[in-house]
Amino acid sequence: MEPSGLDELLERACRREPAALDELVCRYSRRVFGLLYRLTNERETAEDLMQETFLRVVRTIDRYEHAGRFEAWLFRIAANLARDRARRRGRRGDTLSLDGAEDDGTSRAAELSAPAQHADQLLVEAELGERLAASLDRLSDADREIILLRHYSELSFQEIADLLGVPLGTALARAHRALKRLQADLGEES
Amino acid sequence: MSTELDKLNADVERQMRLLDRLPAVEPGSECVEHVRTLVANAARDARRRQEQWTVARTVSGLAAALALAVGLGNLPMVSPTVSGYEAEAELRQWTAALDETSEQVTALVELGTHVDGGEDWDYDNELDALFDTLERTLDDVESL
Repeated sequence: MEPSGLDELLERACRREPAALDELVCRYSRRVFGLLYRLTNERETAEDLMQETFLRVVRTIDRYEHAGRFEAWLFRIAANLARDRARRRGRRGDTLSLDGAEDDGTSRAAELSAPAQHADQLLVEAELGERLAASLDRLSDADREIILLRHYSELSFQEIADLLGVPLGTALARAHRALKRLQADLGEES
Repeated sequence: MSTELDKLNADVERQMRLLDRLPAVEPGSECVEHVRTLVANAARDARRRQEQWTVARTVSGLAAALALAVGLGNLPMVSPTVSGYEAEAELRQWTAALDETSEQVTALVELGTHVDGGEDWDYDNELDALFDTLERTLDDVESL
């Protein structure tokens, strides 16, 4: 279900009212950035892509049909931009990909997994979060993309499967495999 | 959805709670401000292009109306056998086309005034072309 007032906001945004588009940036920039940061593992790249995402929204929103969910459309733009960026870098021979080679997840995880004696619960949680982020970096692009889309876009797996053009079973299998691997890395079992 | 997929979906959804532990990441405030500025500028550009497109459509409609006026105006000259009744009907059509043309000129001038404030789009060329066409049309009318 659409968040309250979104329909009216989108109608105004389709007319390219600056205030409505500004409101969309304020509402979604954190989640879009979160997805892009976790997909690219680079703050600067994620900020560039977030900027491009919202500019594309402005340019193409008159073609957006409010039949589905706005989030599906918005996060598809963001995810496609991240994928295109990774592909371009791959062609140029850069080491960075959506697998996060720039940020060495292994060393970061090892560093953060050192025993935190006398640490309070907050620090333990923070450490776990960093280990989780490092573990995410080691997943394949396809597996990571699915669970990050689910986490940040709040779309259902069926919507994500539609968005990515794969069967629901494939999307769920990828997500299941990715989550199992994360749990194993963290030494947790469901 | 089949029962098996339902079960897998529920299982994966439950496991997804693991990602709630991911550290929150936020864009820099300067970055967000920059994006807001760019979006506002892009929205203004897009609106201006939309208005220009509307003007272009108006001009096209106007040209079509003028062409109709000229065509109808010339028709009696190339059809000497036309009856009095037909000539009167054609004249009425011609007058209606001219009225429409007049309304479109008014709309064009008003629209130009609305979007002209501080914007760099220039309506002079379009208006000059329009009035040239109109003059030629009137010449045709005089020669009827």
